[in-house]
Amino acid sequence: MRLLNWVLSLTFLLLFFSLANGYETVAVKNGATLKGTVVFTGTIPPQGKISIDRDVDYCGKELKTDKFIISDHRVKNVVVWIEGIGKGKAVPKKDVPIIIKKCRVEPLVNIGFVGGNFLLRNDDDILHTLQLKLWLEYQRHVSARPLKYGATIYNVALPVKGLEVRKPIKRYHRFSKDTGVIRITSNTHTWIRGYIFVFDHPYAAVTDEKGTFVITDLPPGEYTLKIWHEGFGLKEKRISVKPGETKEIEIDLKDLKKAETAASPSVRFLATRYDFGTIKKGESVTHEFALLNKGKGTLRIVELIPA
Amino acid sequence: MKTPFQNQAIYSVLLLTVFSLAAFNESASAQGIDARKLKRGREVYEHYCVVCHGKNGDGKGHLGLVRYTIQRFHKRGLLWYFLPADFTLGVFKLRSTPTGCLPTDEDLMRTVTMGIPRSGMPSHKVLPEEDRRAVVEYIKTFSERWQEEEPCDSISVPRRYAWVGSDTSAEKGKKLYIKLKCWECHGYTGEGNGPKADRLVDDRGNKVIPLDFTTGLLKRGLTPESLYLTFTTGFDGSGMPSYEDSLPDVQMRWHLVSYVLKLMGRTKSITIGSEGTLHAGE
Repeated sequence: MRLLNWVLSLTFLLLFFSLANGYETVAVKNGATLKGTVVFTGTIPPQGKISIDRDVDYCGKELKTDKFIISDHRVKNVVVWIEGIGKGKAVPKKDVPIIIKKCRVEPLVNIGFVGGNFLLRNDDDILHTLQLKLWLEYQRHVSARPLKYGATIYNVALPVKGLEVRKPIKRYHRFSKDTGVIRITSNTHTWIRGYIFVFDHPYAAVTDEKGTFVITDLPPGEYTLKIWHEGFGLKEKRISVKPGETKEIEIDLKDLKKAETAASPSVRFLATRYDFGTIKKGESVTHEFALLNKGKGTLRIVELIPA
Repeated sequence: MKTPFQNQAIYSVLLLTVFSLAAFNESASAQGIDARKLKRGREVYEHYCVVCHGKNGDGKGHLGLVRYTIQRFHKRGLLWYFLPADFTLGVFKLRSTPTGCLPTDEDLMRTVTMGIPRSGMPSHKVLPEEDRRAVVEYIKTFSERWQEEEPCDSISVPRRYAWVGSDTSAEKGKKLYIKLKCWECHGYTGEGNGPKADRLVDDRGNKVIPLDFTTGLLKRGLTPESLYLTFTTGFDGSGMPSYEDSLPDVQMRWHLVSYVLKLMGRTKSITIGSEGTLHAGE
């Protein structure tokens, strides 16, 4: 048993080292292409409206939320990425535009890559201030003071029309199990919102008006595809690609299971080993043990043994 | 005689020791963290800081159990609540570095040493420098951000021109104050009562209010240099954004300082904390 512990520790240690090193760029031979369409075949939720009470002369009284942009069942603004991919083609260094036009952020949902830049621009004639806030999953476990949208990573004033500001995308900004999505907020105009997912690997995409996305040069193998939409939440799907193939998939958000998140109910045993002793035929044994629900949701324990 | 299993166990232990040592040495030398300094830092923290900032560094110390530690009536009757800093976020207001950066050690040292006016943070000048440096190191253990990135370079504050605080400079600064829309939050008269003043929130969605310049005290301290830094770096985690990119011109920044000094009624006392001035054209 002790031996097993040591071997396990060693495995975890090695695992830790390999994870800590992050993404590795290698030449991808015979990479596969993943062509996908994201659809939603259920009843489309109603398109909400935001009423505006600041700078009404300029922004108007009302804005559409544009939360569900679905035409012909095809869903726009869905972020799709390969979870936890360790190596592959080079990470692109590109600007992620965050443009405020007519008091809203364009594009509403975007992806960025570590090493690139956020490009903030004000196309309006009024003062906008933008706060980019990174969700901190780890912080929920160490602090008794919850965040609203996240911790500020940039707080920039854009007082004049046409001003462009570039700010570096750092490794700390990446989407991981310890952090989360970057939310674009504005203190001067509270309705302004936008989402950016930052990755340290290049295998991610956002769907267009036709609900389509393409991921290229994917090393052959089995992967978990994560799918996020502002209104439908985080979902996942297992995929596998063969060398050199062009795989076409259709993802129906209606059918997919919600992905496990830290907020989902999950069990942690409060002791790592429960010794029930030895029992002979016909004898029974009782033992107390405790479980902790680590998540936010309610946990219902249906069956523990033999599951 | 040893069984093969025992041999394997010994191998595992040896390997593990080697790996642990390697890992420890690497992280210790890479981040320059001296275990003894951290230990001392923890002692200092648990003696002086824990009462407000809490054991976990989240600003929920013994005083923090009362929801708001400090209440203050604003001149206009606004109730002002705030809690001690939450170090678990890795977000700091008082930095000399650009927005989006961690503060430098010297920035943290300054806050620990001088305290923060208009808040509950007292000065710790009486503590030996070694202890203050140790606690700064310890504060960095509360957020994972410190393991991911290094602080950026400080924004240097150029030597102040002799005309800072003059009427002509303040007049130019006023134009900037209007053009850059400082008034939308701080108000035309600088009383913190602009049209956007009542909606500002921090990272938790708690209300924050823009500074009423007529009340005087600045969180960073009273020097014109601190004004210069405040609008240039912005206060991350609060309403005040960075104007580093929208006001890149050094002279213009000093004009804006002049106007804010005028709003504060401090144009005559700018020699406080002065480190020398530049004359126009230098």
